[in-house]
Parts: sequence; structure tokens; C-alpha cells
Amino acid sequence: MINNFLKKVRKAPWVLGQRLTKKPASDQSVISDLFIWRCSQDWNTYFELLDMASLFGDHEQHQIDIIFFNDRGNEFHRQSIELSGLYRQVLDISDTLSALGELSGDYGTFAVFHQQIPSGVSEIKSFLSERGYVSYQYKNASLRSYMHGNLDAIDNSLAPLGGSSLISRRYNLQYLLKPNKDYEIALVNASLPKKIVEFNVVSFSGKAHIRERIVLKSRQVFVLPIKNLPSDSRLIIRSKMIMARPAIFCFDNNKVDVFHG
Amino acid sequence: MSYYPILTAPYCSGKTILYNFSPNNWESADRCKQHINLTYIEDGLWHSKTIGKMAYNSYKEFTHNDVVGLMPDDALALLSVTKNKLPDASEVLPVLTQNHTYMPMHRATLGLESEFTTTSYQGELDPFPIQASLLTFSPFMQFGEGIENYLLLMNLEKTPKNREVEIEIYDAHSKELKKVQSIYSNQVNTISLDDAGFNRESLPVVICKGMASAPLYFSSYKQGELLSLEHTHPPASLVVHGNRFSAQKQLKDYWLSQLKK
Repeated sequence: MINNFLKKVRKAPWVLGQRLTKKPASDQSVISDLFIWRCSQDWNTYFELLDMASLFGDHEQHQIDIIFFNDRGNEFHRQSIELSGLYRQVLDISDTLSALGELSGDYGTFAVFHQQIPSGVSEIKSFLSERGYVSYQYKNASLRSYMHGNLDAIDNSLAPLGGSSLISRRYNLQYLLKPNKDYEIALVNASLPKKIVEFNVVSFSGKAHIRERIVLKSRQVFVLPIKNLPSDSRLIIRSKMIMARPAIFCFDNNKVDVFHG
Repeated sequence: MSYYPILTAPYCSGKTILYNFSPNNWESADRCKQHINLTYIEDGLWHSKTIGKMAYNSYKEFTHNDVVGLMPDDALALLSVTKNKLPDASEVLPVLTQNHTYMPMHRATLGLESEFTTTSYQGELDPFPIQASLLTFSPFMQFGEGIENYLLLMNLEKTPKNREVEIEIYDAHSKELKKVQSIYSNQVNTISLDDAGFNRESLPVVICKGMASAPLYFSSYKQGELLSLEHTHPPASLVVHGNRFSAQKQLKDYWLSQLKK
């Protein structure tokens, strides 16, 4: 019993007042992840538009708003899209962005906000959250690699909902980085304050291979390239994010595997 | 602490990478050498064997070849990392209590390796309640010559049985029943989606009234030349805050009442 009490006391500075996801200010808010788009000669990005209100049994015509941010977290495009009910609807993000003309970078983020909230969701004081499925096509490969959304990152007033920690935390990615593969590690700041983030790629004996310290503005995404590792390694991310879970792009020659940390 | 299965899928062998370090630095975890256990069903009991030890801050890779001969050929191979040895035999799946973290969960890399490439996700497997059901929408099917699509339904229950139930696969829009297939508890069940008559506009919905599972969607191009693997979120993940599991119940009640054989 004393042990449990001591455990709780030790944990208190890490948890008190530090929620993973803040509640939006308005009861009528809807929430989205900040999904990563990649658009270049090598990359095409797609998003699976699921009509959430239809999934809850509401069969009216529904719409979403999609909002694009550049790699510095600044909005540069938004549009509304009619949903097609319970049919599958794949949004070609690269086509959408290419139609805008020259982009300021080849990656950024986007958010998808559903305009209709099923009544059953409001009644239970929950918020509809789009954490759906992005797929990436690398070098026009015949197969795309899928990655699910991860965070309840932002509401439709564009207020970031990610919590902040009082003390700097370590996110020890439980993934083996291999010398014969290349990687790109993408991390989004879904909180309001800017965050100092330190990426450390270390061998299992503790030898540092890569150390990079950056400042991530709110909604900003950063991509850390990892190449030519001398030995099996792992990644440690230190920041005041509650959950600094990155997306991982693993390159094996011309093949890519994409997944969440 | 969770179990970590070795996956199976067409053209691939499973590869699971275990880690003996905590995914964060603030939830209590033992920093010590730990046992690596292999748990499986044989003769109506759970059996566990220690198949190695792991130093703190290390990893170990396991493929099916590493466990062939240690357990029956058709059994689900469950790996775990624990401070204490597991019972040699038990009537209930051993509960793994040590080193449990929540933000994030302690994970392993669950991968599939073909002759040409690999795909993986970061995951874990905990036992499902026997009364639970499954509802998953699948926007992951890919189309084109040489592409095959499979649903891998991964179940774990406490009772050492392979009980048989049926899954039903429908078109979400027409509610037409497309396929029925038997699946088994405590297995990775492989279900082809290509013979169900879906096209690019179809949104498949999979239900199982008698068993819950982790739904993994797996696609292969040219017999493993390219691979894609991702899981869907549980229905509760469509909302955040409030009574999320009431949202899950709403969705399951709605779809289980709509979809009838």
C-alpha cells in the first residue's frame, strides 16, 4: 500500500494537469489529427474519406472541410468536399495540391473536419475525431503504404489540442533502426506552445550517432533524415510533448514502409 | 505488459522484435535482465517456455524459424518479456503484470518479411473478453494486376481453446452479404478479400458477433515484391472525450442490427 502511494507521488509531477488531449472550447467542435502530406516527384499522398455521420446511421448528404498547412504550420489552402455516404472515397491529396501551383515545400500537414456531428455523439459529450487513414505512394509504386491517424491534434477553430508537459519527457521509440536502411522520422507539434525537441539516435551501447535539436512551432512538422547508421540503433525524442509519437518512413532501396511509432 | 505475436500472412514469414527498455522515462518500469517467453496452446492448456533472456536496453528478433519445433505447427506463437518465469502450463493465459506503460504502451515491432521486402507496425496483443464482438470498416483494399488483399484477424483469449465462429463481410452501402468465413480464437486468421466482389468504390464492413479481434489489413504485390500492412482503429476511436465506449456501442448496435445474413 505504501509502495503504491509512493508510486503515485512520484508520478504526480508527470500527470497532474497534463492531459494528452485538451477539451475543445466549444461543445460543437470537431477534431482532426494533423496528417502528414508529402507531394513531390517521388511522393503521392492519398486520404480515405470516411463519412462518419453515415457510419452512425445518419444518411443525409454530408461534407468535410480539409485544411492544408505548410511545413511551418501555416494554413495555405482549404476546401469543402461532399462525401459519398457509405461508398469508399479516396482523396488524391497530391492532385489537390498540384492544382494549386508551386508549393513552398514538399511536405506539410492537413486536417479533416466533418461538418455534421451525429446526435448520438453530442449526447454523450464526446467530440467527433478524424484519425483516419493516409496512404503514401513512393516512386509510383504499384502498392501504397497505409498509416493510421494517431493524435486528436486540432479542433475546427484550428486550436491545437495536444497537451504540454511540465517536465521534459523522453519518448523512447521501440523500433530497431538498421544500418542497411534509411529512415525519415516525422514529428508534428500538436500543442499551442512552441516546443524544443531533441532527437537522439543512439546505438544500443549508448553511443550517439545523430543529435539534432530543433524548435517546432505550433502545428509545425519536422522530418529528420537518418542515413548510413554504423550499427543497430534506436531513437530517443526529448521534449515537453506529452506524446512525441513520430511517423516513420522506412526506405529499403526503392521500397517504403510507413507506420506510426 | 502485453503479448507480442509472430504474425503469419501469404508470401511472408512473421518477424517480431522485442525491446527491453521502457517507451518513456516517467512510468515506473524495471531496468533489469528479463526472460523471453514463448506461450502457445497445446493439449487444451497454455504452455510457456523461456527461450532466452534479454539484457536491459537491448532488443531481440524472432521469426517463425526460431520457434519451429518448440510448439505445435499451427499454434499462435506469443512472445513476452517478463521479470519472472511464466508457469510451464496453465488453464488460463498467464497475466503479465510487470513493466506496463500506458503513454505509450510498451510495444514490439510486429512485422512480415517476404523474399523481397518487409512491412511492420508497432503493436501488442492483450486478451479480448470472450463476450466481445468485432466491427471494422476497411478502406485499405488496393487494386491492380498482381495485387492481393487480405484481412488478418488476430485474436487472443484467456481460455486455451481454438473456438470457431463466423465472420460476415458486407458492402457498407448496399448491405449485401459478400462473404462468410470461419475464424478461430487464439489464431491469426487469414481471409482473402479479393473473392468477395468489391470494387474501388466499395467500403467493406466486417462484423463478428461472437468474437473480437485486432483487424490487420495486408496487401501484397506480385507475391511479396511489395507489401502493405495497417490496422483499423476500434470504433471508439471515432470520438474523443465523453463516454467513448457508448459511441462504440452505438456503432455496433446500429451495424449489427443493419447487417443480417
